[in-house]
Amino acid sequence: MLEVRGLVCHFGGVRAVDGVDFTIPERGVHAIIGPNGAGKTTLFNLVTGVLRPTAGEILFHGENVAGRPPEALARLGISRTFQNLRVFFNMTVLENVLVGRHLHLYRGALGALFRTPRFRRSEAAARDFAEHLLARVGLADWRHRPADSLPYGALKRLEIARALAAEPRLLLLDEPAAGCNEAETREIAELIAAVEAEDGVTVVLVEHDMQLVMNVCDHIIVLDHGRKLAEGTAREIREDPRVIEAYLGRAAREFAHAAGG
Amino acid sequence: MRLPSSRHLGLAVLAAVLVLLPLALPGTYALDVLTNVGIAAIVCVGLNLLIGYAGQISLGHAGFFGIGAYASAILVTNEGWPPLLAMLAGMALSGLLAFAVARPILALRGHYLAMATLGLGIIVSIVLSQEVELTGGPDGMPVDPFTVAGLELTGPLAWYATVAVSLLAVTWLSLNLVDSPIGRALRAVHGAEIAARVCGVDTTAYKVMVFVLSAVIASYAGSLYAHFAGWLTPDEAGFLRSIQFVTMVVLGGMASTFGAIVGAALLTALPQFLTVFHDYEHVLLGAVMMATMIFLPRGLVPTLATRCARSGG
Repeated sequence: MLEVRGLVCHFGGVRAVDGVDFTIPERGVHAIIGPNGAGKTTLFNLVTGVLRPTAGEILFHGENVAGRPPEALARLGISRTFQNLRVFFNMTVLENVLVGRHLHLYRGALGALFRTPRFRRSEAAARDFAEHLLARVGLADWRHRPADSLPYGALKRLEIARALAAEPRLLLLDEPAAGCNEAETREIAELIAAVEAEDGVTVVLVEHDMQLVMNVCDHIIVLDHGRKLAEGTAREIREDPRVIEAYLGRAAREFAHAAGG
Repeated sequence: MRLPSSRHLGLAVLAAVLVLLPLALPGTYALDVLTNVGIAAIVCVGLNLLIGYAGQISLGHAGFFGIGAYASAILVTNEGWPPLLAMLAGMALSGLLAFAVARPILALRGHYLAMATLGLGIIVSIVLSQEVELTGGPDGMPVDPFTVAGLELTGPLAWYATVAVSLLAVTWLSLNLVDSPIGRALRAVHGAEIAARVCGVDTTAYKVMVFVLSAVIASYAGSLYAHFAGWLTPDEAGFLRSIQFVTMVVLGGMASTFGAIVGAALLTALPQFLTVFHDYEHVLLGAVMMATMIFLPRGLVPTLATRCARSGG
C-alpha cells in the first residue's frame, strides 16, 4: 500500500530522515519506533505532505506522491493525528469531527448559502456520522462543548475521531497514547485494533509506549538517526541486539555519563 | 441541533429590531440615518466573512462598493438601463474583478495583503475621479431613482424597508455560509491550518470564494446607496470609506455576523448625532480602532456575549 524508497529530508545540516526504505502492506497495525530525534515525526510529515522530501520516493498504491500538498493526499485516503495537538480550538467537538468529514460533504457554495434540500441531507448525514464516531471514542457527551474545554486525553481521542471521519485507507497516528494513563492507553489500544479489524483501515503509529506497540502491532520498523535500524515482528524487534543497543545502550551511556559528571 | 436554533433566534431578534426601530425613531431624518446604517451593515456582514472568518484583511472594499454605485449611476442615468439590470451588472463586474485579483492578492499575507487591497481600492477611486466624462469626476454625478416595472422606490420608509429586507437576507446567507462545510473550513484554517489541510480543505479556494462573495455584497450595497442618495462622488469608493468598513467590523467583533451589524450601526449613527465626530472623523476612527484592539480585541459583541454567558451560567 505504502512504499518508501530512499527517502531523505534535510533541514540545513540536520539529516532528519537520511535514506529510509520500507513497505507497509495493506491492512494490519504497523509501528515506527525509535529514540527521540530518530526522525519518526518527520517521516509522518513527509508521508502526509506537511513537509517536502529532499530526495526519494513515496509510493501510495504504486503512485509516487512525494511532495504533494496535504489536501491532495487527504483525497487519496491518507489521514493522520498530530503529536503536538492540532485541534481546532475555536470550534466545538462536533464541528472538529465535521471538518474531518469535509471531503465527504456536499460543498457547493449555492447549496450552503440557500440551504438546499441536498445540502441539508448531506449535513444531517455528516452529523449522524460524526456523533457515531464521537460515541465510539467516548466523547458523545462532550459533542457541543468548545474543544478548548476538553482535557488532554479527550483531545487525543478527538483527533482520532477527526481523522476517522475522513474514512481513510491509511491512518497515521503520532503518539496516540502520549500523556494518557493506563486505562486510557488500554482504551486507545482497543480502538486502534477495532479500526483495523472492523473498518479495514491500515494503521501506522509512532509510539513510545512499548507495551502498546508490542500488544497491537504486527509489524515494527525501528528508526535511529534518520535511518532504518531494524524491521520485523514484535518478538524479532524485542530480541534484536541493535535495537537493544540503540535504546538501552544509549540509556546506559547516558546514565554512566550522568553518574560520572 | 443547537446551532440552527441559535441562528434562527438571532435572525428573529434582528427582524424584530428592524421593525421596531422606525417606530421608536420616527421622522425622515432618523429613517435616512437608519437606511445608511443598513447599507453599511450589508457591506460589513460580507466583509466580516472575509476578515472575521477567512482571516484576510481588505483595506479596499469601498472600491467594490464604488463599482456597484457607479455601475448603477452610469448605466441607469447615462445609458437608461433598468436599475435592477445595472445593479446585477455592477455585481458581476465586482465579482469578476475580485476573482481576477484574488489569487495573486490572497497569496500575500499580513501587511502585504493590506497594501495590495489598499492599492486596489485607491486605483478604483482614482479611475472614478479621472473619468470625468463618465462619472462627473470629483464633483460627482446625479443618480436616477430606483424603479422596478415602472414602480419608483421613493420615500424614506420604502427605502428603509428595502434596505432592512436586504440586510436580513444578507445576514441569513452569511449565517448559512458560516454553518456549512465552507464556514467550518475557514474557521478550521484559523484554528490550525495544517490540520485543516490534512483534512482535505483546499484553503486557497475558499479564501478566493469569500473574497469574491464579499465584493459582490459590497457592490450590491453600493448600488442601493447610489439610488438612495441620488448623488454620488468618488469619496464613496475612497480610502476613508474602506477604513470605516474595516473599523466597523473590528469594533463590532470579528467572526460575529451580528457584531458586524452593531459596529456598522454605531459608526454610522454616531457621526450623525454627534457633530464633533464628524469634524474629527479621521482621528476618532483611529482612536476607536486602537481602543478596540487594546481593550476589546475580540470586538464588542463576542466580548459581551462571553460576559453574559459567564454571569448567566
